[in-house]
Amino acid sequence: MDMSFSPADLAFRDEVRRFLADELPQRLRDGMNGTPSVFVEPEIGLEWQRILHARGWLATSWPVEAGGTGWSPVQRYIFEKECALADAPALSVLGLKLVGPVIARYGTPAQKARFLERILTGDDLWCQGYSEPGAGSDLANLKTRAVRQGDRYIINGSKIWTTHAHYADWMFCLARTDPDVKPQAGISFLLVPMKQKGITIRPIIGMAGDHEVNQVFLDDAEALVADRIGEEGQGWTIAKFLLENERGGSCAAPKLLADLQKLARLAASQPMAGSTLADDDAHGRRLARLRLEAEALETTELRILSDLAQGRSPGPQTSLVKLVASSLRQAVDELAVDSFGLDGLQLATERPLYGNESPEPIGSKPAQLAMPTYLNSRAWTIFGGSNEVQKNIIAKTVLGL
Amino acid sequence: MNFDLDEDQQLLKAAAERFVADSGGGDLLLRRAARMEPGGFSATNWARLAESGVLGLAVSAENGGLGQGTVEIAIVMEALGRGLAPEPVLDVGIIAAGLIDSPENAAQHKSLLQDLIRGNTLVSIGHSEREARHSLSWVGTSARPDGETLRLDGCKIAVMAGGGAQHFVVSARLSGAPGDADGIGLFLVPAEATGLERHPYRLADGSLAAELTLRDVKIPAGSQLAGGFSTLKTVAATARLAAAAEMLGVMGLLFDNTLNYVKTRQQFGQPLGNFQVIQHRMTDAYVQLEQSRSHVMRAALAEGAAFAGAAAGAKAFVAEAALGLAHTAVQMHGGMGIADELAIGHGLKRIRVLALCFGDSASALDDYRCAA
Ligand SMILES: Cc1cc2nc3c(=O)[nH]c(=O)nc-3n(C[C@H](O)[C@H](O)[C@H](O)COP(=O)(O)OP(=O)(O)OC[C@H]3O[C@@H](n4cnc5c(N)ncnc54)[C@H](O)[C@@H]3O)c2cc1C
Repeated sequence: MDMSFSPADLAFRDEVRRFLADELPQRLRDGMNGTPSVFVEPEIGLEWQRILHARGWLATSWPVEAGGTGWSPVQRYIFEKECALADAPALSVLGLKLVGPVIARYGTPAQKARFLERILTGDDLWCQGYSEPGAGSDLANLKTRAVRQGDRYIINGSKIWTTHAHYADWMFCLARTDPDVKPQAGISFLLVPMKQKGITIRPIIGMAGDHEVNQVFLDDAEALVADRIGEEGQGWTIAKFLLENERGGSCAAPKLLADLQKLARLAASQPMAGSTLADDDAHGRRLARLRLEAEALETTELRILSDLAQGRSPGPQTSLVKLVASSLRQAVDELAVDSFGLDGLQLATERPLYGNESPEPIGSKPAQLAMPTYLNSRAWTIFGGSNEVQKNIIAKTVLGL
Repeated sequence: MNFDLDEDQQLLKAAAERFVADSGGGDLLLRRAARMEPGGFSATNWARLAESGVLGLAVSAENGGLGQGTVEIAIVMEALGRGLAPEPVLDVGIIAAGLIDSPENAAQHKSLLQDLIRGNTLVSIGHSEREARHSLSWVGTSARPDGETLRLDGCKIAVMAGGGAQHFVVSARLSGAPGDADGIGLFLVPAEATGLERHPYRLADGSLAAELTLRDVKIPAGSQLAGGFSTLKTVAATARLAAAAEMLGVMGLLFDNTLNYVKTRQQFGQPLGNFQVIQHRMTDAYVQLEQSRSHVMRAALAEGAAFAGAAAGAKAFVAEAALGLAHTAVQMHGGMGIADELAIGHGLKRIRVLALCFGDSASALDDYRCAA
């Protein structure tokens, strides 16, 4: 057993550090730190994406032949960690981590040629059309109907909670192509252009005042049969492949640990009746407790990566990563709100909270970010399979209950 | 022993609930519109509250109030909480009015108090300071007597409903050092006083608070109110009970909405409420709700010297329970829970603000254990 990085890994780490120091503009770091929503706006994320793409460091989870970095799992981890420590913008997962790998795995050569490069360049932005008003946790119950007519599908129905639909050029959409078979079997995975007459987007404003998600109405919207991924009826299998990518394979601990480190540093700047918050034992213990949890998560994530690196399929730990990471994210964001005392109560209505036009904060910029971040953070245990659903999966598939 | 409301209390409860229903309680569009009015709440509803006497609910009859007790305060605040009322009854009607309401102030400040009660003048309290964090006695703002006048210097944060207030009750130190209980005075400062800079800003619940900077603000010596730290502590105790009762009201709303949701929302061909996990979480929420109700009752019924400790304890207990319940309510609603279109998120945000009324849970817990 050995928890240390190899000399080659350490050299890679130094290379990443140098790159971040040289190439990550302060404006983007401020943009990341000034983002209270779960997902970073394209304005910030895309610029960083293009810088990474130019360096060839973008598609960390793609096969090499599709433009992936070819990094070992440990290298991926090191990269994520250094990015978190440097306040690098979180990239949109929709194209890079969700639909990209799907197209790389299930797409035809023509589809790969058409879509993959444009995901990397950021020329196409994507959104995920899975959830519907009646189909959230019970995704297989989706009702959106796609009827084949010549070389295209005519699609009717509605998707909801669609993150960044208002920026997207394309939606990867689960639609029912065969209503007469068992629910999972009648679903197809379609790529639908967003800029068309049959698509209407209704913004849904979150409780912090951010516009991240939408309801999307498809009224005789059209998609080409040529833009279907996989076979008709294969949608569920593909959707599951994608969901597993969404839930596992992520490196959540580095960002959590970086944020906890920031909170620990910040405590010394928060006055507390003659001393500072750093002298408050209750606060210190709360921080320490969360750091313990985050460190355990880090090692769990590294155990998974180590399995992958040795060509073994990872054990049941993958199932608990999303569960632990999302709850921990919420606990860290709640601690942040509490750290700022009464200043933590402010909730600016203006957006964005970065850049020259952003509203004047009360106390400090981090204090201004705390409340909206905390409120938006309640979504972590809901999207991508809620915590209850994760627990059901673990109980059934891991514990055999 | 009997925990039932008497006839007058039942009437008061019905009247408060009627106010909430008639003023659009639960209508989030109206609530949003009210937040956009100049003070951050509905002027029409404020006038109606004034008319019904609620703004002087706890003010003594000699000073023109209703002179009601703690049980009545809890009844009204719970109803307002349940309706997610955006009107600052707690900050103005309980706290600011409470600080002015004393026999010693009657001669000098009765007319201001009556204007407050009638809804003509908005008075809010500037007490909290950044350096204090949640300590009640940490007052660094200074008051220097200078002939017939007083000069105030300092900074106040999270002045609730301060964005639209015409007057502030400002705590400032006449002697001693921050942290000393002695030497704190209370002063009436008009919003337009020279040297007073007001920076309005929004809190999580959408209300319009303010940060105040006082630079050599000159006020007449007569603007000093009777009382000091002990008055603050007395009012803080009432405010903590009121905040706990309002949180209880919000909890009730969130609980009922969520229970209804899990009974009607279908997934996997059945209502969410069929899943045992959901049943247990709703049961936990129910336990927290009932336990919180008991604490609000205990505090409301506590007498004399026992009241302050009981109110501090109730607030510490209820704040924690309310946050837990609100988080559950969001989670049980899935995606709907995070949307601003539902009352759920608004309830969570209101609870966040109420939870820090006169200190956080830790400081309330400290006051509770030190009182025992
Ligand atoms: C910020 C955000 C962004 C999102 N982005 C996208 C996106 O881009 N594309 C997309 O397709 N979707 C997206 N979603 C939707 C998300 O995947 C769903 O919200 C999620 O699947 C839950 O579905 P639901 O909201 O319908 O809740 P429901 O399924 O109705 O669940 C409500 C509650 O019941 C619980 N529950 C449900 N079933 C069970 C059970 N069997 N046992 C125990 N408890 C149960 C849930 O855990 C939850 O607490 C997003 C959601 C959010 C909040």
